[in-house]
Amino acid sequence: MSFLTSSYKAILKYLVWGEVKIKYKNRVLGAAWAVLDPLMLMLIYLVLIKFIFQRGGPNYAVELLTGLITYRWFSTSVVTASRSLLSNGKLLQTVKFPYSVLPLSRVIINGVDFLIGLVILFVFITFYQVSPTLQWAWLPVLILIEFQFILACALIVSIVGIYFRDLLNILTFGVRILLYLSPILYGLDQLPERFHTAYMALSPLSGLIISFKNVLIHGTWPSEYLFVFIALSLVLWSIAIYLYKTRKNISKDL
Amino acid sequence: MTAIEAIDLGIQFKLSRFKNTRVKEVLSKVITPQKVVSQKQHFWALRNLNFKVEQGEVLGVIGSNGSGKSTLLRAIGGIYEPDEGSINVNGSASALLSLGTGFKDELSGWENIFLNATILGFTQDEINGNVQDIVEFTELGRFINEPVKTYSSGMKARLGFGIAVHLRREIMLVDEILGVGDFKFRRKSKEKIQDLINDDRTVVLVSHSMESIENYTTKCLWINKGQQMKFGETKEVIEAYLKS
Repeated sequence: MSFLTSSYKAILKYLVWGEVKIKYKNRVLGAAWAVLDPLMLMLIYLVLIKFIFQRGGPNYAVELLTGLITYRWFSTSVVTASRSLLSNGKLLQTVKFPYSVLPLSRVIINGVDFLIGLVILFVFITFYQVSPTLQWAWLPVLILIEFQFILACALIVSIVGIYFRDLLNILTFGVRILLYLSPILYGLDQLPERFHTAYMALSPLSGLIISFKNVLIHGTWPSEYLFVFIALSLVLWSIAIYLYKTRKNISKDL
Repeated sequence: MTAIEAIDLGIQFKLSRFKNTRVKEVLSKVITPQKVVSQKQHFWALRNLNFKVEQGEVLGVIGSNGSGKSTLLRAIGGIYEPDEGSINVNGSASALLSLGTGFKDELSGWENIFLNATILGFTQDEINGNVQDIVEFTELGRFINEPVKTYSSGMKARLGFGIAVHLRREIMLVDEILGVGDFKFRRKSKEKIQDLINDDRTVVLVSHSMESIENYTTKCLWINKGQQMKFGETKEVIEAYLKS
């Protein structure tokens, strides 16, 4: 259980801390970008959908932001994790350390952004006068479910990325397509009921995103599609564990 | 006590099948399957190595470029697992000293000391106890708080060397770092290496400098193209190597 050792935690701490520091260093606005980034992203789509296409319901801004931050944690983590082992090749060939710490650090760094996004979301929730419900108690559970899902994906792409270098290019487009395939810019209710199952099959993140929206905005239970999402995570975890168990010698392949 | 023992050690590299695969090649293989010949797509970077290092001994490793010296260090450090035979290492995780490994250019020298040492497996207490000595040794002065990207290559090397010689393991693996920096710093680093050796640590030293091999090591291993040419007393091995 290398995850639990103190040296593993120490390496993780420094990788995360170092990256976060680099991210906001030498920026005039510094850490304010952590707030501005999701806000700008949301504004772009808000203007596009709400004002240009005249679509979206009364709480559209809140729904949009919920979907966007959930999606962004996944997309940026996976894209950056796909190069996390490859770009640290020199380090991996010099020191022996549990290398799963590298993709894990990407998930955590982007998780920090997600949490900041969540704070902004709560500001909007207050502003739009969405009343708090008991269902908010689901929030930590949903965050954990998303975390383990992203981590499984990150572990897989970090290894596959070594042997299949086109992965980064593919992922860059893949996550873009996923954005439009997920119920972020639109809601599931805008699709005819008979397409729902087919849609869910094509859109792996939808169970999670709908659950976040249900719990935080609509005050209802998480979506039943969340079970599909968890089942998918289990499959991904078995692949991830298999890859990490069988690829002990990756330092030779970097 | 034996510190390091290699028995028929072999390290094999696969010549990657995917790394250089192009769609065109894949397609041509699909279209004309008879072309696919099972080629031996691997080579032995090291093979049939047999040597033994006692605790406190200093082993020199010599050989021309590409003979497998660094691969051997990585095998001792546990980074490469043997594909054949075995390598037994008795002692705490050995630090492979390579200059500037894992430096983050955007972070300061001070921050990099902590990052680097943590990755090398040292605890916070060990690092805190040594960080002042490291800073002093590197002679970086106020530059220690500047980002590493502003450093000259000599400064980076000094920082890496400083971390490496101050944070010690029972077995030290040293790869070509004796020629770092200016004359004054070289003298200082030589003293440090001597210090390491006197410290009853097992040291494996890879170098092209016959002078340092002769000065520091008691035993020597000469490898060529992954094969063991000679192992024994430093003097004899160097003599044989120079004659070849």
